[in-house]
Amino acid sequence: MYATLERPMVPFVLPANGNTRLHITVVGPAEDEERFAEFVRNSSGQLARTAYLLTANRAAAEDLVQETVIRLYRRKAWLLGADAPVAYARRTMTNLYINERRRKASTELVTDEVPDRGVEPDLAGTLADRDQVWRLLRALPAKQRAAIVLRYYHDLSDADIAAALECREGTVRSLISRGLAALRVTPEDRSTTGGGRR
Amino acid sequence: MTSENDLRRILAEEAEQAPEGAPLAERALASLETDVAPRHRAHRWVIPAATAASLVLAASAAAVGINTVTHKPTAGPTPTPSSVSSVTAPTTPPTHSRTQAQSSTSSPPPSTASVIPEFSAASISFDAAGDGFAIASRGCGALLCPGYLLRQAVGAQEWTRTRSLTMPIGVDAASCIGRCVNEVRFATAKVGYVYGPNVLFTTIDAGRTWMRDSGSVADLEASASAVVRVSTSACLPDCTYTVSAAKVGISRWQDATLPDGPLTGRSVYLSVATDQTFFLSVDTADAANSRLFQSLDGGVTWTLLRRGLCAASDEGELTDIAANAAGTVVDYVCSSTSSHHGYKLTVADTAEPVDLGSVPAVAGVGSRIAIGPTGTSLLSAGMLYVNSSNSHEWKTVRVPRANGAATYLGYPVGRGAADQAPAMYLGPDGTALWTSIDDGKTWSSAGFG
Repeated sequence: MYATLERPMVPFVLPANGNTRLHITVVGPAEDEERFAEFVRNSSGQLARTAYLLTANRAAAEDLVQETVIRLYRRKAWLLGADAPVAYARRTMTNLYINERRRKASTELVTDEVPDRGVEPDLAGTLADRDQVWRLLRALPAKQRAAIVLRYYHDLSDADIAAALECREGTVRSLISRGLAALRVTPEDRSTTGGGRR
Repeated sequence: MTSENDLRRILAEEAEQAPEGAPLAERALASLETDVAPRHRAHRWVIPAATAASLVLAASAAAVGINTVTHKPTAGPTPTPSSVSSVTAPTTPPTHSRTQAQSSTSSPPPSTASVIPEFSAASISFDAAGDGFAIASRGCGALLCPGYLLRQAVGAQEWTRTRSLTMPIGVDAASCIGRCVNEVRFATAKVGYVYGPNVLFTTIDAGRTWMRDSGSVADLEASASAVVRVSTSACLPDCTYTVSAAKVGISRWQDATLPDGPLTGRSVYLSVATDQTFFLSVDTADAANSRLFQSLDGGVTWTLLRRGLCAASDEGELTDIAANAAGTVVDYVCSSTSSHHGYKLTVADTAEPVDLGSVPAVAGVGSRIAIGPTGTSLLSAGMLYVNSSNSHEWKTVRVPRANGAATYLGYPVGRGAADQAPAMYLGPDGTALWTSIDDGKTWSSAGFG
């Protein structure tokens, strides 16, 4: 025999006021809603840029921001109480991106344009060209790409990247090292070493 | 690339290509209302009844001595100290009636068997070979639901689930925001489209993977080799529409140029007839400007067939069009907004349109029109009206499980000989596809289980 109990709306704070009678302050959900909306509006540009660098696709970036906001909303009390809410949001987004890309690898390919046929991109030549770097960046595994973006766009330290990716600092250094190596590698190198998209 | 600074510069430059933040923030915040709120309302902790009773007692005891409690309520249940510990009845799974294959006569309608439907279809489509595809949700009462792709091969009795969709399904276009989809069209066994007001996804491998295309979709229809899409970016209040066409499975859209000025109006309706024949109509506030176009080359070029649809004083607004399988006949429906609600149907296959007269309508309930081997049919509020004589004579057939706005009515090619294509409809509850091969005398259903 089971009954259901509605989830209580928390948090509330119990200040130690020296009085035997408790004084309870409930942080109003409506106030949280307003603060959360303000946070989203203030940080949306930054989140959109990060999302775009991660996904390399405007539509996918919009989806990633939206999914991130939904995820953050469910933990908005935690977010609004965090010392660095933007960092928390970025961490949430990065993990969403990595997990989603892993999950969708066999189900959905998000693209701005449906390829007419399976045309391989032209990777010939050196990597001095921005488009080529961007193309190679898109081909990096999700975690390597996230580490590169967090380091070279957000200028985060190894420790901060490790926190965002939920891994060790040594792993971060390895991810960045391998990512940079992949960006420097030529197509010929890729074909001989068996490297490439994983 | 020669240095890490180059990489920093490239990333900074690429970041400028990111979507604009402000509208994205508003879109994300708007999505919370549908994506999150329903789930929160439905979220419950399940605890043993004895524990719940203990919590009631504990909460009552704790309430003694409380001085001040302030709370700003939200749309959900107000969590006052007492409601936090309130015990409610267990949530029971929704019960439905499964529709099994059965036959019935048109009068009275068949009784429905009492079994649980697995899925509820939001939209169905048949490819050129007659295979059926549906996007459906499962036991979901929210506005946006997890979606599934179902399929029914020609000759199969039941629909089977083939894939989970990674995009949510909306109950209708109005509630479909973000990457939500509410319509499906399949051109072939492999190539299909799911779309909502803001998104279009294409599959070229029968739904295993979906590729997102940019832009909005007001309407879309596909034949075996061509797909036509109508988009709009702003409705203030009339919408300005753009029409584009592509080969099936290829998203290289070619903008179509329509004669007779810009395409503006309240709504558009597409209908596909043959591999290359499409019809397009636009409804306007000033009925004199409503127009009907035809394309014979897969939607690339269009000719104006008729202007001033529903322009007579008692005709109301244009609400649907349908073409026959040969592309030689197109009918359109005018829905009267006068006191005697009615649908007035017109055949527009000749220079002088033929007036088919009217059938009754129920206020606020949508209708569907289709042209089958024996004539024109209109489904509305549980009644199927069949006109086989190109005159004002309509046969009325009461049909099962169709009370409310019809979701689909058609005569899919490939489900029978050209002159014997069965009538098929999907009722408002979306739980079964009903089929008749005898002009509505008897009906059988296939559930989406």
